Amino acid sequence: MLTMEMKKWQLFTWTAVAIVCCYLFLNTYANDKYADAIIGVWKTGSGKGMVRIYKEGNKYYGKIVWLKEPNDENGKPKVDKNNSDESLRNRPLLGLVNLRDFVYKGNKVWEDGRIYDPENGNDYSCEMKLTDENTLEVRGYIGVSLFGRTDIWKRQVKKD
Amino acid sequence: MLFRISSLSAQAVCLGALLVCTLYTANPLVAQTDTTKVEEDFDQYSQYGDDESVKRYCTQKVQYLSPTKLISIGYELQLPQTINTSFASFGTSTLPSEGNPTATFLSHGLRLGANFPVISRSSIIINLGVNYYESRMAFENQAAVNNAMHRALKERGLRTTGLMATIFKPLNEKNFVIVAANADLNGNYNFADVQPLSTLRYSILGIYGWKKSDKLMWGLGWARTYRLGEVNNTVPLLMYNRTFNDRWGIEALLPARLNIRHNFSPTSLLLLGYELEGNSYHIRTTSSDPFSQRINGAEIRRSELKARLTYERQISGFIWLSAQAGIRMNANFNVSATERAPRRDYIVTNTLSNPLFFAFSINLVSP
Repeated sequence: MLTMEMKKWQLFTWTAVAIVCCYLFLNTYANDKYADAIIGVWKTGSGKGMVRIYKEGNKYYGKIVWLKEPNDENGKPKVDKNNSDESLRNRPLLGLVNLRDFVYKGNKVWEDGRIYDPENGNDYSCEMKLTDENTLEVRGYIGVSLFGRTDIWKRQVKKD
Repeated sequence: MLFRISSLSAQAVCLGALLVCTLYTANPLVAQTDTTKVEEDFDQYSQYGDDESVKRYCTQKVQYLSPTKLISIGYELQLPQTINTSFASFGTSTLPSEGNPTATFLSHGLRLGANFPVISRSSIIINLGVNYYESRMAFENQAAVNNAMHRALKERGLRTTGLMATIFKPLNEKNFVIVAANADLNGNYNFADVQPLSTLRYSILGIYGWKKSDKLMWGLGWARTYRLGEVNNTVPLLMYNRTFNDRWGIEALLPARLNIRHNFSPTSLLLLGYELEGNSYHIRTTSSDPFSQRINGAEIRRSELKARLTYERQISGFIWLSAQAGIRMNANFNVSATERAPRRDYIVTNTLSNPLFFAFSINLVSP
């Protein structure tokens, strides 16, 4: 036979469990709701390129899909000529996957990724943050985030 | 009974919450479809545009520019040079000899710098930095150094410890503003006897510029600088960074420096040019002879032009090596009585020969 005091504690415990479950649900829902919000076409801060971000498995990737100046001085499509790996210097920039392995961490932040800058052939650690629906902060850095540079990308939509 | 009902209700709510929670947390796993597409039709993206009115800004980068150094650890050596010193007349004939006016010394020292981008956004970049330069002066035949000026240099050399802040503010896609400020402690101090903060020397510059393309940015401005050695020099500035092709370019901030750049590859380059360096150094001496007392609290107006060849190359990742060789041409090493003394009003005149110099540094460069 449960005493009145024990029943009170039982009620309290179940209520607490219910509140925690609701919180976890809401938190998970709120976070996951934005996980794919990064998917789409983005123009880089300089306006020289567009990157399409897509999802593969649990990770996010981006590829160069548009270049303001797609051809080099000789009128030929630009290639990855600054890559430190000589065997990759002839691959076209258009279609190059320059964002890799991003994981959604919640709070509209994607981390653990890498970004490749074909202008100098460097590959950086990178994190991205969606500051509003159409604005993406892309921060490439060396080792720790302090040694880095943030670029602001803007979402692009197809115009009629 | 009431408690029993309440308890059952709470359990039901809890189970319901667990069920919903499980369903929703499982949902993304179910929904994880491969959205990768093969983007063969790249032409379609030319029809894309900003989703809303977007303000765009120019960047501070020009293609193939020499890399920005975040951390730099370096060393400079100037080969032996002679100094010829002459004290201005004291107006009395009862003074002892001022000592040997000529001496030979070798100058060397560390050159350290750190530059951190504390805010780095498309709309503004703010860098804060620290730097430390030293010129240790090793005199030949030290026992024979009996000139007060030479003794002051021999004992402590010259040091600069500074803080700097640089703001790059793009106004739009074509125009930008640069503001930079330095606060330096310059003098013959050491770290057991740091110079008082009242002797801080300030430099500031402002530039309004045009980013014409990814290969050209230029600007006009104004600076209050000690590079010419003298007090409160204000000079007009011309910034000009241009890349002609993937091999050749110019990097200039006139009159402070000018370099013609040759890129061997994205990871190695050669710079040929000059830099005008200078500062006003607060001198303190502890000797009681009249010549030492004359220069105690005085200011060395140092200004020198370094014509040089610089080779920079990537060692690994973001670590770059810089090696430099050239000739250092002295423009001014005279001494004014105080920091506020009129221009070219010297109590000591020093003439230096122009030695070869060598410098190297290991650098962590910016992305």
